[in-house]
Amino acid sequence: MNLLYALFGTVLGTAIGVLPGIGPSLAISLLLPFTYKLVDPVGAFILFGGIFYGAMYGGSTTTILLNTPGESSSVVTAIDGYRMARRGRAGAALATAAIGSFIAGTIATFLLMILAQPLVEFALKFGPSEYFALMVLSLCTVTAIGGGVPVKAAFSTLLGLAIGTVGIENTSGQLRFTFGQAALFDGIGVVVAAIGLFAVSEVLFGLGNLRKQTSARLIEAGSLWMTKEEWRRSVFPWLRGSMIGFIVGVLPGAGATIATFMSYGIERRVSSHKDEFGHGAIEGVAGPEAANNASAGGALVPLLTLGIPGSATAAVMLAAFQGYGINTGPLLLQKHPDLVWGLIASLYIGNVMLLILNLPLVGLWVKLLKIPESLLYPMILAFSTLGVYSLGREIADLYLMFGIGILGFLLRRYCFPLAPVILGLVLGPMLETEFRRALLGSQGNWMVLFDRPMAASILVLALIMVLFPFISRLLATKSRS
Amino acid sequence: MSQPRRSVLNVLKGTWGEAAFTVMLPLFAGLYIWQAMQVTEPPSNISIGPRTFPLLVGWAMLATSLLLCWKLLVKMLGGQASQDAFVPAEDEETAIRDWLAVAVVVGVIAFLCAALEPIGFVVSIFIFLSVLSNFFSPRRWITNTAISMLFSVFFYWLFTRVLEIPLPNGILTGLF
Repeated sequence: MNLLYALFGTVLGTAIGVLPGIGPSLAISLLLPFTYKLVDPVGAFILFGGIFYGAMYGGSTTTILLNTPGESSSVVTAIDGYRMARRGRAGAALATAAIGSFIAGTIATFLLMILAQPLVEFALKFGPSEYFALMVLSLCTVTAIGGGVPVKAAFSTLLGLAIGTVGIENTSGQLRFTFGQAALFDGIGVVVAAIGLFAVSEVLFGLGNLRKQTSARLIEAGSLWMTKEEWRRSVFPWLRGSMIGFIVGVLPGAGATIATFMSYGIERRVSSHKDEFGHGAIEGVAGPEAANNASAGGALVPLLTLGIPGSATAAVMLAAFQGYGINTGPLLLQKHPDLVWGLIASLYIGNVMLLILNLPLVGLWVKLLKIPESLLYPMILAFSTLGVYSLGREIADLYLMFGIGILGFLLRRYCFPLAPVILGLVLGPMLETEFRRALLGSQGNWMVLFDRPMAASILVLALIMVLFPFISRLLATKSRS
Repeated sequence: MSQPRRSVLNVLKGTWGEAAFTVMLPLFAGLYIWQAMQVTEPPSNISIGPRTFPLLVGWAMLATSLLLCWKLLVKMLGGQASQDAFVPAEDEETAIRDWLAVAVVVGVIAFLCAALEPIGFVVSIFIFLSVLSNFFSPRRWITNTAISMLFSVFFYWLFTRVLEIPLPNGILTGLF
């Protein structure tokens, strides 16, 4: 019976996950009332495991095929995944995402079993200064993502941080940059911005050339399976992404987005195909997708051991625990071992089910690209409208999404990278909160951001990441001359 | 002779468009800083207020945008120093060959935003899809229209009946 729950959850999760704007957390929230009807809480959590992994993979599918990320953690996949699809390698991109997710999920589940307690003790040592430094490090990875234009990437990041300051300020409750519009009080949603920047701008480019292009912008997939070379190039990014994702996932609040951006940055640094990044490098899909899945496993560590949800999905899981009258925290494993181990087993089963189900379905998903572009692009806009409107049922969100889409169109036209805007928007509010917490705690002494060894080490690493492109360019110029 | 002339014109067009956009960036940053200054600060005994972080971001944005303006200026004046500052635009990624189409898409999007709630999801999405698909592929108008109808009705049903997420009924309120 539990296997059936896992199967049903995976199918349902994938089906819901492909709808734009509906990520794993929203998918589980939507289905939460139905699962309460299941008498056995273990069965319900097995269903969640399936839905969770299914929805994550479903989100990657639309990101790779349609450039429509359903949540911020899929944004990085859009950079190279969509380019791979346009080069006729959609099947390989979907396959590396599925296999990478499977490997990462397996590794993360294993690490969850053996490392939960020591990692939580380590994470508890993180204060505001360390969190601030970690987020600065994540933002600095944009110099890697920005390719050869670090100044433009820096501007994109700052623009994202600026957009993130719109709305009610977390600490003081002050309204900022809302211009009296109630729709802006809660700030600009990450999904609204991500769909606008990626999907809407892509459609404007697609339709803005459709009548005068000589060949299709979207190329129908060639071979659906990965080549030997693609396998070889994916293995290490999967493993690295799994480790990065799990470690970052353990830090409460850091979440999958930071993990995916870090993974992308590292893959770009270590790859021998640096020039392919941004144009369809398989490492740019394999690493972040693995990191995304592994961070989900990592996020369960503070949830199961401390009762702190490390991500939006973990928060929904916490709500589900509470719905069954179960208190999470250090005593959870002692009081409800069947539930904890049931959840861990369900994650593993969901992972296996996902691979078994979705690899044969790659061909089916890729058929989406066979839809004529004159219909597919308007459908992407209609999907985006549906996803964004259904999130808050606010027409203002649609204006925001399309407005941000036009901004994204202009940014892209003049070679400004879009992914850093989303990273800035996601991290901005958290960065500001930690920044203010640190400074309030030290009564305005700015040295608090630098005088703790771990924070200082992370900031030095961030500085190296910022300076690396300039130094390497300087060295290259010197060696040429 | 006409070919080189055309390419020079295109370069100028691209550079001037980029120049106009780049000049807007410091203006935007200035506006952002000005708006940040309008945020009310807490009493003076609190060292860090809600204005500090936006001001830091604003000043950094201003500095970055001025740097971009300077690099663009050097590029337009033919300087060699910043040749690598602006990566040559990859045509496929950044070129727009049909601005009329872009205008039509933006117009139909504006219609969708304005009409979604008054006339409802099914009708507005149907009009949106059928207008755009028939504009770009008028020969397949029967298929386009039929798919637009099916799409709007199916997703309305899926969201409202299966997922129980309400969507606006508009003029079809009595029907659904």
